Amino acid sequence: MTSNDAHGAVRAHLALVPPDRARVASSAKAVSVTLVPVPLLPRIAAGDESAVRECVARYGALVWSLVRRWVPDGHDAEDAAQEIFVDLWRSAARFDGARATEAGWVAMVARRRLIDRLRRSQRGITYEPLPDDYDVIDEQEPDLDQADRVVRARAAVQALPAAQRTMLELSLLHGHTHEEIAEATGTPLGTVKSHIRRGLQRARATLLQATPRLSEEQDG
Amino acid sequence: MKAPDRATPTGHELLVGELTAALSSSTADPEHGALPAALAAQIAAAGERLLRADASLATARRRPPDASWRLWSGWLAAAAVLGLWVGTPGRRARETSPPAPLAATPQVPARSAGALRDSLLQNDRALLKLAWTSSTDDVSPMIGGDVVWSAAAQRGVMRVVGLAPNDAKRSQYQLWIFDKARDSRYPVDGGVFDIPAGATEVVIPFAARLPVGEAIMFVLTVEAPGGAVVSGRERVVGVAKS
Repeated sequence: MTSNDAHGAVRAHLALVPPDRARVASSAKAVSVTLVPVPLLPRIAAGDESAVRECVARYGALVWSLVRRWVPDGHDAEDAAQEIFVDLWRSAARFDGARATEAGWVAMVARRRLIDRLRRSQRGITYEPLPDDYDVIDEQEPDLDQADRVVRARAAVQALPAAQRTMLELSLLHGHTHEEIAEATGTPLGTVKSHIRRGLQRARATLLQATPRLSEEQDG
Repeated sequence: MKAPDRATPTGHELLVGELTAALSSSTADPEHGALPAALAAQIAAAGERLLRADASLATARRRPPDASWRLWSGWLAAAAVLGLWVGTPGRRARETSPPAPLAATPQVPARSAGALRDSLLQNDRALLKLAWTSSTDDVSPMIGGDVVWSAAAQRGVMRVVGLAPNDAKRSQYQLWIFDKARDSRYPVDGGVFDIPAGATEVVIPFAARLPVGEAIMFVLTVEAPGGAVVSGRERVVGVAKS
């Protein structure tokens, strides 16, 4: 498979799932395939030790990229990474592939731990605000499979206006507080909060779109 | 609006997780790179040990048909302890709490904690059992009881007698596990807990936040609410060492 995003022609990701799980939308010139790896957490929950190293290999970079952004100190960063994976092993049985991608779950677990560490280090955290109707989101997400979620999540962040995406990156990836973002970007605090709130709402709307189930990219 | 269950992530948390993963995958990050190989190997080895320990506990569990013990085996134990942890009023007000069973509160049914202790004593021949020594703290000048620790299961149970009740809004007790292979300045956090008014003896199950190779000492300190990352050790209320 190839990657040729720069020309917008063909984008594909390595297949790590059985063919029958691959969702392929094709025409003569366009193929967009998003395949997600078989989840490892159910295997870990079932006690399959061999899945542990696979999981570390698969998600180590995701966890480490978050940890290094949130935790500047090297020693603390290593501790944080270890704690996150311990949390991951212990929460593996709660992973529900119908509600989240595995990568999303890993990121969620990592964020919980990193937020907890920051709180423990006495640093005040201002969390991204909840969308007004966040509590009904569960009822709205019954029809997405893993591949769809990956496609939609990527599309969601790509489709965000630059300001909203920047604010979300600083908040979600780098762990900056709203106040820190306001100071770093020279943006009024209220505007920062507004960008983050609207970015989350817009991204959620993209994730919940009913169609198309697959993204297709035409090259002609 | 549904009350968020800490064991089960809210839709919002999952949304943020999905976006975080998507942003991470779409954002070049040469500066932070991959997980260092040595650290990855360490994490994987610890994870495998944890799974083996859970499997051994699950096996041990099947021998005594004690219904209360089932609460404390394997992954169910994680969910059970977490539920109690989250159920503490002071905790519920906070936005997040770690998903792992990091600490217990006195609300843990003594029978269940006791059953776990009994089961560890019965099934782990290498179990470490150490008595608490008198503390040097003015508030709790004399404590008793013991701590049992299973290296295989990476969990233990402490029985504490005579520890003064605390006001959780002002301070909490915190357990520290000293690993022989680890820098003694940075013992492993065993979690925070409270002593309710009127309690003379509490039995508290706990698990280490990080893998512990060889536990050589357990220490109880008084910390600010929520506990400390690194204890100042100003108030040490209990020491149990080999």
